Amino acid sequence: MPRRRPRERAWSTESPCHGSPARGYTGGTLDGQASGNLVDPRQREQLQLAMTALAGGDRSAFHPVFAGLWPVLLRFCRHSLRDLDLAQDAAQAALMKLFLHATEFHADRDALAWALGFAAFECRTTRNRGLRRREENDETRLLALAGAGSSPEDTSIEADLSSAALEVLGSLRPGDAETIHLALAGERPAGSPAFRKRLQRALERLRIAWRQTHGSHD
Amino acid sequence: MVPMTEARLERRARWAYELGRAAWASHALLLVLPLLLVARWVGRPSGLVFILGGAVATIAFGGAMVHRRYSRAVLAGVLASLPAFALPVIIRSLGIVRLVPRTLDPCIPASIVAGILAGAYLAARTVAEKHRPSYWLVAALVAAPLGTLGCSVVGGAGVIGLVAGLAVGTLPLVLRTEMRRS
Repeated sequence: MPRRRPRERAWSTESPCHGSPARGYTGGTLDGQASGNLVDPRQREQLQLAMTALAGGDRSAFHPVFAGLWPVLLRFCRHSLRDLDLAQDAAQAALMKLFLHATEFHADRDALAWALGFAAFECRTTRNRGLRRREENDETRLLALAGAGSSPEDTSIEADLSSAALEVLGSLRPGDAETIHLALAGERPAGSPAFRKRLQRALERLRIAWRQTHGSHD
Repeated sequence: MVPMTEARLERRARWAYELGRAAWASHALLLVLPLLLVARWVGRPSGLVFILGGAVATIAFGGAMVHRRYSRAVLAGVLASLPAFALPVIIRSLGIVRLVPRTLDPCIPASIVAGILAGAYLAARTVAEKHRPSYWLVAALVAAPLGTLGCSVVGGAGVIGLVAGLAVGTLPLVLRTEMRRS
């Protein structure tokens, strides 16, 4: 019986997607590799075999998986998020989660689809986080506006009332007007019954003048 | 996230992979630890349980960490050790039986039989694997100490019986492999 040959590696040590170690990520910039075309079937098959071997514990399959998936994940995130920095963050997070769960990969799954699942999840998380942050900023701005003072409508009403009150006050006798001014300014003589009586009469006359000018609630 | 070079990213990814692998390998302990608790519960000496259990737990975790085939070997080893673990304890609890004019402790033949069963089971499982020697070694390194926890109720004779049975049970595998080579 012929002696069995040692098991040959079915996957290449080259990048399954690009034929060379990944160069897509270059410290903050993207080169053309990350925006290349779709993964061809042969490379996809090699990636599948390498991922299966890695899930089994074959450490020599690590680099081919890394080199094959990183540019694909980065490209996917960039297309999904339309922002280079956010895309890099999301792709990094997806890659870390992918390798953290690499042992749970089953050969009957599609390796590329499995990896893109992580990337899609990270992109959605990043997008939701951005939306939440924007909503929080909007709310903060609105609260700041509301707390800054009265609205333009209130200011207008206040100005109208002030001018009307001054107009009516001006129609009173000078003594009554002076008494009301002193009371509003808080300069009334302490414990003076004469001033209290004078103020009472002045306010009564002011009320009558207001009713004559602007009408009453009744 | 801080921008990083691809080499650094690969290093981090490798760490993530090893961390995930360790988490996955820790499941192997779920097979071993209950048996050690049972061994203590049936009254096996704590020193013996600690030493043999520690060795088995280390082998089981390390094996599962290294490769998935060794986690299968750990499972096979645990299953193979069950008769050797349980039979002598069960028979001992039944007491000494009189078979011949002299009294005979049935735990010794039970250990041998349990060893043969374990060896045969391991041989059957090993045949289906590609990396047979390493697979068998890991499985036997798990089965033997766990079986010893049961067989040692009759002392050294039980352990020798287990090891002899394990060797006899594995013999068909060795013979078959040799015949294929020749």
